[in-house]
Amino acid sequence: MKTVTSKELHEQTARCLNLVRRGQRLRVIRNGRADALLVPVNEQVDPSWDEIMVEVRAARAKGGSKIKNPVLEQRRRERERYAAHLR
Amino acid sequence: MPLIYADTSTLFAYFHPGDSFSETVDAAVAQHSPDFAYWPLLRFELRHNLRRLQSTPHGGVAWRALRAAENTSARLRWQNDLATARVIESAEELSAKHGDDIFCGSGDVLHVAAARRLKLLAEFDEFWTCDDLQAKFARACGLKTRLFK
Repeated sequence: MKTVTSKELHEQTARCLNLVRRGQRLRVIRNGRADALLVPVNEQVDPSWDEIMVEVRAARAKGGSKIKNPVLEQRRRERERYAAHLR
Repeated sequence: MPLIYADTSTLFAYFHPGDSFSETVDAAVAQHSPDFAYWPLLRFELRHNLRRLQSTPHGGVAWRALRAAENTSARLRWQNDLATARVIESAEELSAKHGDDIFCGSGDVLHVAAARRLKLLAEFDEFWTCDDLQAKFARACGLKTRLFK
């Protein structure tokens, strides 16, 4: 899938729409983030699962600090409170 | 595609790239390409936990991915037959039967009860969780269970 910036889309709308008319899907980036998809009118609109998860996978690959799973943290706190109550 | 009941802890880890279980869960999804059972309790708990983090960079990524996933018919399979009242009744039965032995909270029991209902109603393959006590409980309730560590 090709990527265009919102500026390119604004300045070259006809060229982008011609690409889409020929069957090309375009991902529109604004402020460095994928904001929209342009797809041919006769194509299924739903993005593929890979497209949905592309940002998640990119962020994961970049690494960075990890967080504790908040669902587990909440359960752990509840269990500790319950255990303290039983003591 | 296998149908998995993924506890909220697992779905959170799948969507949130900074979660400590994120890579492990993603690897399992890549290996098995499952569909995930989805119903109101799971949706609420998942949205609630992601919503609270959506102002953070990773949280924003996760939130957008979840909403995009909910807008498609792919992978998150809505379970119309999982009636909340029946799941709560089933959870009550499980609590009465196992509650003294296994140290689970009411929310954790509800997910196991929902997975058991799903097993009765539809094709169901596995229960996935990152919660060791819930995994123990799910196994005691007869569910084939995968625990992420």
